[in-house]
Formats: sequence, C-alpha cells, structure tokens
Amino acid sequence: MSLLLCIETSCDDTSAAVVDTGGAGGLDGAGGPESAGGPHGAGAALIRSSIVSSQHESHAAFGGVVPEVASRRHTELLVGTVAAALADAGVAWDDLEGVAVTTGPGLIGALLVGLAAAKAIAYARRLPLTAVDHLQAHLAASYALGVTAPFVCLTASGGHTLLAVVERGVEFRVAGRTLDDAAGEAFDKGARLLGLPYPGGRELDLLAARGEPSFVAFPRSLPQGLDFSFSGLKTALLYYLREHQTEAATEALRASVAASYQEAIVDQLVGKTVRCAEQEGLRRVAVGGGVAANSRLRRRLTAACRERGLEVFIPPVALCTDNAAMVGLAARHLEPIAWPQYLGLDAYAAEPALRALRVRR
Amino acid sequence: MLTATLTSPEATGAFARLLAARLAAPALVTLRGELGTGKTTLVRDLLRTLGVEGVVASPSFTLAQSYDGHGGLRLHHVDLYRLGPGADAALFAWEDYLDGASLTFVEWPEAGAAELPPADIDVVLRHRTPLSRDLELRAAPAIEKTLADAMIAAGIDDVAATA
Repeated sequence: MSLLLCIETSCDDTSAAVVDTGGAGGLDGAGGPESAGGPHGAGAALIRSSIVSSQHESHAAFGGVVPEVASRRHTELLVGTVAAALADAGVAWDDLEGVAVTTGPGLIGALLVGLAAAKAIAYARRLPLTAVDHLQAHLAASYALGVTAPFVCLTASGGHTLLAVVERGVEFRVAGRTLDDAAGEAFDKGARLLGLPYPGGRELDLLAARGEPSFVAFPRSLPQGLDFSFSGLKTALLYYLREHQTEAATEALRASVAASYQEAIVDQLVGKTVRCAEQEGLRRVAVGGGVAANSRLRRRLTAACRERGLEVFIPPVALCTDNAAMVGLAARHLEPIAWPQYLGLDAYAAEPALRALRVRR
Repeated sequence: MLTATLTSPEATGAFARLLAARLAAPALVTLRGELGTGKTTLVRDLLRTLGVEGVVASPSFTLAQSYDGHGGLRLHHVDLYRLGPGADAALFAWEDYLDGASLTFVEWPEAGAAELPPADIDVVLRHRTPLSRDLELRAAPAIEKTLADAMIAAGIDDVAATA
C-alpha cells in the first residue's frame, strides 16, 4: 500500500483524492498492479476517496468562468476539500507516502493554487511530489476500469479534443486533435444558440434525448485523417435556426434540432475514434473528459466498438469530468520528484505535450 | 470606416494577408460579431500570415493563447466569450496580453470594454449568407485608405472607404 494525496485545480473545480498506488513500483506501464484481482475491480479499488467541490454557483452570476474568480475560490475551497478527501478515505497525514498535482495545461492562476498547496504539503510532510499533466490524467482515468496499454483514448472536454494512442503507462502519441473548436465548446455554443442555460452541454443532452437525431442533416464534411472540426457545424446550426425560427420554437422540434446537432458531433467523435483503433491495429478503446459524460456519445461509442469487436472502456461520469483521482491514476506511471527539486516546478497554460509531438496524418 | 463583402473563406484569407501586412507591434485588434461569423477563422488566417505554424485552436475555453510569429513577434489571441455579460473584466490579467510589445487580437471585446484601451483596428463581421460576411473595419484613415486600395486590387467585393 502506498497512499498518494492528489490535487487538481486546472479549471473551475477544486478536487482532492486519496489514491492507493499499490506500492512504490507501479511504473511498469502495463496498466496497474496485475496482482490486485480481476481486471474490472483492480483500478477502482485504488481510489480511496475523491472529492470535487464545484464552483458553478460562484460563476453562474458571471455567465461563465472568470479565471481570477476561479483562483480565489480554489484558495477558499482547497483546505476543506483536502481534509474531506483524507477523512473520506479514513487516512491520516502520517499514512501518506506522496503528493501528486496537476501542473497544466489549464488556467494558470487556478493551477498555481493547487501547485503551491501541493508543494507546501510535500515540504511540511517530507513527501515526494509527482507532477501530472492534465491530459495524461484524463487518459489514465480508464485504468480504473482495468484497461491495458496500448489503447486508443478519446479525450473530449470544453478545452480539449484529442485522439491519443496510449503506448505505455501515460506515454501517448497524438493521432488527431481539433483544428478549431473543442467538442465541449461545440456543445456549449450550440446550447447557447438553442437558448439553453449555461453550462449548456448537459442541458443539450437532456433536450436531445426527446428528439429525432435524423431530423436535420447537418453537414458531415470533415478534415482528412483523424483531426476534428466543429466550427462549421456551429455555423450550420445558427443558419438552420435563423431559417426555421417558427418551427424551431416548438419544443418537440427544438428537441429534434438539438438531437441532430448532437448526432453530428457524436458521429465525428465516434467515427474517428473507431477508425483510429482500426488504423493502429488496436483492440481497446477508452474515453475521458467532460464530453464523455454525454449519454449519446457513451451509447454510440459502446455500440460502434461492440460491432467491430473492440473492447471499450468508458469510466463513470465522475472520473470523466475533472477530478483528482485520475491525477493519482496517472501518477502511478510517473517518477516522483524529491525535495528540493520539486520546488522548481511551474504551472503551464498551454499544451507542451501536444506541441512537442508531430501530429500524424 | 472601410466596408466590404467577404464572399468565401478564400476572400477572408486574402483580406487577412493584406491586413496582416499592415500590422506592427504593439497593436490591439478587436473582432466583433455573433457566434459563427468567422472571428476565430480570421484570427487564424492572420496568425498564419504572421508566421504561426501548427494548430490554432479556439481560445474560448482557455481565454487566451500566445504564439511566436516571424522575427520573434509575440502574438496573443484572447477570447472573452466565456466572461459573458456582466462579468468583471477587471479580473482578467490584461497586463500579460497588452504588454506594449505584442500584437494582441481580442474576440468578444464587449465583455472587456471598460478595461480595454481603444483598438488600433476594430473589425466587425456580420452574417450575410452561410458563406459570405459583411465586413466593417475601423482604423487610422491612412491605413483604411491603403488597405481599401489593396483589397480592390485583390478583387475583394464591394470595397468602400468612407470618412
């Protein structure tokens, strides 16, 4: 047993978790401790607690996320969130053997709150600190379900749309990414055009559930290869709504327009993910990020993978949206940093992991 | 004010190249217009012309994205969409993006109106048809004049410069 305190503050949720990394090893990259029982119980049992303190109410008044408001709220919420994670896990400070924290990409001020807290805790408790990339954390969420590398992982959220080939542990290669808007942005902006309240992704999912997905044939013209594009789709929705104002005003038809729009996004996500697996000759497919909470995506991806005999790993919604437990699942595959080296760690807003890697066509 | 019709993504690209040639740091360029009018697409074309390689994704989620262009030029792409109406834009870290040495492009500047200095170039895009957009541009008269001449020479539609 090796217990890690994990902290994640990359955007507007303050999260802390206690994750059991199953001993000092766990760096083999094969996807977790094989000795810990069946494939579906192994990873889940490692998460001892996971607390997410949402800031949605603080930001609702602003109609969106304000970075400096997020930073202030993280400062206010973090101590209580960490205490709750320890209490929930039944763990004392003395039981911890390390700290793990998200260092980027994300809102820089928000990340710095979590990083400063993690450094302080590591220093005070004489513990090593593991720096975790937010995208690697999303990829690692599927390890809770017992997936083994190599596998294809679609990470889709408000800020990211990434098709990754996870080769070993949390080492990945970019197979595709969005050329314009992120998938979550397409959901949120589409919801706004449909007159749904913020945050719109969930509202759109609920409205679409009552509609007919083939009602409007939104354009499916896509970039070549495995990259994504959602900007043109958003414009197509806008023009559809302008041209059919009376029609779209009735609830049933609005639901069908929402369902058709959602279907166009989901078609693209599912189609490219499955194609990536086939091109790479991989049999396992996973998903992460806030968009992975979308019920239609979960259903369609499951069906598409089953049809082709691919194994699919879709974490529970709480592990898809931002959380600290996935930070611990990623940390199992990363080298902890000792004192005083970790004091030099800095947060980063952009995506070095993506910029460093050539996008494959 | 300069007005024109951008009838295709290619026309938008041609306009971006002509505009980029007239930008020098430090400068603030604001871009206004409803969702889907092509603000991000125009900024992407501008950044490409100024030497940015690789993907230029929408900064709606991160609020800002910075790049290096030709000759060490610092470029900032800011998008205040998420601040929404009534947000306190004083909370945004403007000093990082209006640093007196960079070219700064700001989408949805309305959300930061109280904090932003006057724009050197203000671009408004409006929907005309699914593919074409009405363009309005406000800049120093000399820039409007030479840009209008170049746009006419490039075959862009309905170009007019009015005092």
